[in-house]
Amino acid sequence: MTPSLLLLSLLAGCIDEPPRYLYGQDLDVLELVLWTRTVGVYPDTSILDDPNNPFVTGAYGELRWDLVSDGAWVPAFYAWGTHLASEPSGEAQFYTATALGEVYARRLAADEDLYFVRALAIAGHQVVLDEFPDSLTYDESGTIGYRLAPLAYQAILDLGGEPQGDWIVVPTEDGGSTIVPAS
Amino acid sequence: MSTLLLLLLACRPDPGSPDYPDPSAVDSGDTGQEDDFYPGPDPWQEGEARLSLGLFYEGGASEALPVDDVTRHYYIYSATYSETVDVIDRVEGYESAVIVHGGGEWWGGGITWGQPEDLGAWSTLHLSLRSGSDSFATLSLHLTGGGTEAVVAATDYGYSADGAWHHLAVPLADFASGGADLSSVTGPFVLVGTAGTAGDELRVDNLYMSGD
Repeated sequence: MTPSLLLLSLLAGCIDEPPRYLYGQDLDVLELVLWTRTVGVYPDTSILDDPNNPFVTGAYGELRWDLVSDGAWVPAFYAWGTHLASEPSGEAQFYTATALGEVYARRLAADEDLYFVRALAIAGHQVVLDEFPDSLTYDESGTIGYRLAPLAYQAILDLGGEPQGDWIVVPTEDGGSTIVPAS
Repeated sequence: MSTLLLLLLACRPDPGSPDYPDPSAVDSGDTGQEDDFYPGPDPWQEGEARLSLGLFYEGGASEALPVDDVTRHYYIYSATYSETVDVIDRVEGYESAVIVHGGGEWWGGGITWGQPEDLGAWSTLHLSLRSGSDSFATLSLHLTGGGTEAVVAATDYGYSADGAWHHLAVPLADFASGGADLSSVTGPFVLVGTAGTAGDELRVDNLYMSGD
């Protein structure tokens, strides 16, 4: 087998590798570097210029879901952040902020960066409330939708923050609670 | 050879007390080197309520919450800048801090407290800044309390990158009105700036909080 054929077969083999590999790059060792002070928070699109972003060419596809379900939060941030910058939506903002929140909670970044990671996570969830208040995400069937605003609201509280805006918490029929606009 | 070294060490006289100032002293601005020590634009007076954060300040204070690298940390975010000191160009104490821009899209750093502190007794944050570089034309001061980060622009308090020292007095009420709970502060002082040229400098000095 020539080196070229070997390389091709190795690259092709990567398709069946565990999802946290991207064309031979081990995403598990990917480190979070705060490229700009508003990276990952709509309408910032600087992540598309971030040299540390392995998905800058857009090669995240459905992998972004696997990264979340696998708990690979640093690459999940880059995948979802790239998706957010390319196709802004509440869902992309929510998962980008969620990834940052998990990076903070699990201390997956350098100690000196955790303060700012948390601030970005809160800012991202706040954007869901402010800019995408009606956004939904869906279950695997793609038929059952969930409102993201209540999840973003709770995520801010879980991060020790205080949600901003005119939202009120109301009880639901099943005994839980949700949020609705105050006016 | 080793034996000789040990013998020499054993004969070494007691060096006595160090003759350099103790930077952790908070009860007095008198460090024994008055000729070199700059009292600053607003020197602390005995009995005056003043809080030292243990960073960018060497003078006296009635209280101190110094950086101890255990629960109170000073962080430079993502190596966005480096820091050195200037013993010549300074406002207060023996040196000013020199923030050297890393050349990236932003820069930022500041104090993080693992345990919240009640700063309700303090009314004003004081800070001296000097830069003549466009890289530092705009910068913001952040304070986080009760989980909410409030941000103010340094230019709103008299700062400009015109090459002169500017002595800022920022009412903590301005952070409170931005949503920060001053009774539960975890980020008392953070500086954040924009993209700039690597090597450009900002000098920082005389950081403290005062009471009414």
